[in-house]
Amino acid sequence: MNINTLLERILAYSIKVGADECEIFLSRGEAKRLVIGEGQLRDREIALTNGFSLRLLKNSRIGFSYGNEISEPALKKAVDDALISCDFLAPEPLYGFTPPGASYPALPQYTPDELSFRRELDFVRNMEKKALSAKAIAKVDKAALSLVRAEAVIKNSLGLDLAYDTGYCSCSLLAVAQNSGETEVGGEFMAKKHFDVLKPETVAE
Amino acid sequence: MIELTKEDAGNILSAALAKAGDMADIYVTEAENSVIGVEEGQIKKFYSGVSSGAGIRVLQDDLSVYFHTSDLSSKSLYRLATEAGTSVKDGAKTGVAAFDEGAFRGPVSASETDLQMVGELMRELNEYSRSLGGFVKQVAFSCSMGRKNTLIANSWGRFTLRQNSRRRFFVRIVGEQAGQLQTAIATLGDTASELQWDEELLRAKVDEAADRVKLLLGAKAAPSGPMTVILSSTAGGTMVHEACGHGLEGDHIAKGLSVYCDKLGQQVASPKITVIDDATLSGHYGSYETDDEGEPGQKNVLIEKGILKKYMYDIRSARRAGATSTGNARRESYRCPPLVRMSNTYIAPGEDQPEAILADTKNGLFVKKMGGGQVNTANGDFVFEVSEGYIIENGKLTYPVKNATLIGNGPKTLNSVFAVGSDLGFAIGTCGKGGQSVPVGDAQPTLGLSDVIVGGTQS
Repeated sequence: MNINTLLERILAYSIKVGADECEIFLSRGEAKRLVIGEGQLRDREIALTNGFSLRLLKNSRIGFSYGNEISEPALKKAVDDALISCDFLAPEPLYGFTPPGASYPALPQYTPDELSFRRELDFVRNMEKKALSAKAIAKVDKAALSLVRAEAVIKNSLGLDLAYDTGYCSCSLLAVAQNSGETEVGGEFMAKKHFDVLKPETVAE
Repeated sequence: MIELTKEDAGNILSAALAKAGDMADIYVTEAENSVIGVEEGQIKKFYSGVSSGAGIRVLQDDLSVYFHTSDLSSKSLYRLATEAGTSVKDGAKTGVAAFDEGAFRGPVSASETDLQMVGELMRELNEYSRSLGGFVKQVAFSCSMGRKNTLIANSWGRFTLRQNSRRRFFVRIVGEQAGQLQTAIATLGDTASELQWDEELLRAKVDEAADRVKLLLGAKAAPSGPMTVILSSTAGGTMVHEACGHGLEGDHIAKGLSVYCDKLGQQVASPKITVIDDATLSGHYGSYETDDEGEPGQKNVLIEKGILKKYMYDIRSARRAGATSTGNARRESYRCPPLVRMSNTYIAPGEDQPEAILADTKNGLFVKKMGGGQVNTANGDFVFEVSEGYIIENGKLTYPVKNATLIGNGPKTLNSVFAVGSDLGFAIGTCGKGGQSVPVGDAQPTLGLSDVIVGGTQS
């Protein structure tokens, strides 16, 4: 069963078992993180994630559930659990899901930065070098670079059917200063939409 | 249920070590969590969900390569392990040892959360909280229940299956009197296999928070300056967790970022002080059967009669120090590599009678309940809030004070202990480190501390 058919079936199921409206949010993402400490590559992480969350309206109550197994039984259980919560939750009479046809500002498609491992490593090493050039900085505990991208789909029982891409890059640094037997630790962080506009020297300073 | 077999796990670990690496492990988990919360007299939060995934790690010298995914098919895990394996540097190859059957741990029973039943209970508790009194301006409470199946296997032959459950109740009450606002919280949490709640226990926690807020509304401003402080066993062990425990974590030690570096075998606290981290305490909030690297949970005596005996380690920090893991590797979820963390950390009871410690104090501050705090592990400096405190005059509690803080330095404070009570009181908390939160317990007996700086607002 393709994903679109599966989501249609779950939306239909939710109405059949008692929801007034239902909406499903699906996301899939990939993240990379590189950390060096004292000049050495210390951590390399890659994350591949997917998951869903589901909210439904019943008698002006909003039930919510989530999971990361995209299958019919898992999504149906999420509908059942969210419906139970509607029996207890306070009403939110002004709440409603978005119908199709609404006007949205045009979003540029997110084009993730494709970087070589060498370029990522050089980036964090240069950031560390800059920090170490400051007076009293004894060492850099961590210099890190993260690259994140994600795709999302939103579909609801009113007919809304949207998809978008997003992502960001970030860098951070944790420096250790020592002077006359005293030790202090300080950190800084920067996040931008794209790698080229990150300012590692600012973070290091 | 996690369907990964030993054969699958062996193949995945072999793929991770195909190029090089000293050790590889895989952590697979399926977690169900539910949260129900009441605010402004209504159930405003009620949700549940399942989160499953796996993390594969390769260690080589100081390098850790960690890849994770929410796709649990053995094909996907094999592919991920192969990719992780290509990230290590060329070097000596190691194989995967046969899994140790003796290390296999069967699941313990844990009931499913009955959402309907917990929802009814929250509704009844909400009714009860309406009868607390006119001083109550706002009541918020929530309960969370979680159940987790975990499989951990490593290339050294460890293969562990674990099932555990945890629950937590939290209540916050804001009181108002003559235009003045005060807040008090109370918590309850454990690792009981039974995920349902006893209404009487929850009512008692609501009463505890309400009584405290009422007391604070009538309290005087706390004085400031150095004074004798008696920390009651009911205060919770925030101080030992923050001001001492974090500094004894092996990763901080390895980086030279702890005031306890290079002090093994040295006197770092009063001879009356013994500090223990114990994951084996039955049912406690910070307890576990095995840590998140599959090592058995342990009782570790960190400081004995004031002498520093041991640091806490996970596999990575232990390798760096030439030591062995102390079973202190923990992670928030499969999305996170393990870090060195505490379990249930406490100061062991001593021989002094708690009543006598108070009676022998001429002037000072009695802390019945601690609030939150923070510490700089590099130099041991800390600041803690006092949630409930009283002035001591001639060995007796005279009046309550509000807005007090304790300011000091971990090692100096532990050296200033002049009395250790024979009692022991536990508290629960959520400890944050490296962007990960894990449940912990802490405890202490009644302690007498000399010359602690109290921050207060009394003019």
